[in-house]
Amino acid sequence: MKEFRLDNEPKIASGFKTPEGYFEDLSEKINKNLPNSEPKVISIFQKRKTWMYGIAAVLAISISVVFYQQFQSTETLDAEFLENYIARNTTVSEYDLLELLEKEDIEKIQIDLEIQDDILEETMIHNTNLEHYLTN
Amino acid sequence: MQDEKVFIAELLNPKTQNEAFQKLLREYQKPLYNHIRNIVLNHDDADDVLQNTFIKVFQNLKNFKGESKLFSWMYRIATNEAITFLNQKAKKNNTTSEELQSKIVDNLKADSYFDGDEIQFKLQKAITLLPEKQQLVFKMKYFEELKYEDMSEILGTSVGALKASYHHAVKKIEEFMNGN
Repeated sequence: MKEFRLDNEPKIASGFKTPEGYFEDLSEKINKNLPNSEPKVISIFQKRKTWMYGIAAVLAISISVVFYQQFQSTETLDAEFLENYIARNTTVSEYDLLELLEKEDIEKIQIDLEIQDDILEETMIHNTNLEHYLTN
Repeated sequence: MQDEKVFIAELLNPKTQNEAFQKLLREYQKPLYNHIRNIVLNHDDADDVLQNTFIKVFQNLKNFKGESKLFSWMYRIATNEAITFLNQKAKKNNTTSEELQSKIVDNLKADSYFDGDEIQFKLQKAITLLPEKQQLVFKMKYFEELKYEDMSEILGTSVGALKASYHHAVKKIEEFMNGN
């Protein structure tokens, strides 16, 4: 039996065939599926993206407004807070202040203080240094 | 080469692109179909892969740098699409692409789009016994009659390695044909 040698044999075809008219219709099939010929479809996910961007923008503006308002409010200090802060942290005494003020200004500061009798009596009972009050 | 540069320019120009692409389709649909069919073996699968190939070619024309011939670039896309298709089909069937090809060839006689005689069937069977790369090299050289230089550009393998691969493939096929 003759030995099979590929180079010595007549060319052997693959044996594959195509349906009738396959290549005639092929171009049309491919052209239909090319990117340009597809109708534009607005994906629902794209719409959702637009909504998300809108919500994010509103949130960003809201947060900015809140921060801005907080910043504004810190510029106005509470008067009582400021007074107490100065009182706690100052080294200047009342006598130092009096020396700096004119007589007219001191008289303006004068406060009418109504001391109730029972409170005065209470103070005198608990204060042993009465002599100081009687002589000054 | 100059003609190819002009043609590529026509493919990239929006005004001339459509006509140029139709020319590309007419010129390459048969050779690319044959190349793909030799890999995937089944007509319907080859049809799917071929359409995907041309769509990918169209979409990636803007990325074609001209470092290789247009023909080599298209064949490379076709080869990758066909091999990927086979691998995915094999995975779906819990098998390897070699086993899948072997099974398809075993059923070729029942395929209405295979009209080969006994020796053609035996040759297809012999090819399935080769390693995957050797199968590809053999088919491209023997059935498609591509030059080694062009195959080298398409497959990214040296001419020397391709010649050696083809030589080994032929020897194994001859052994099978003589033993069966």
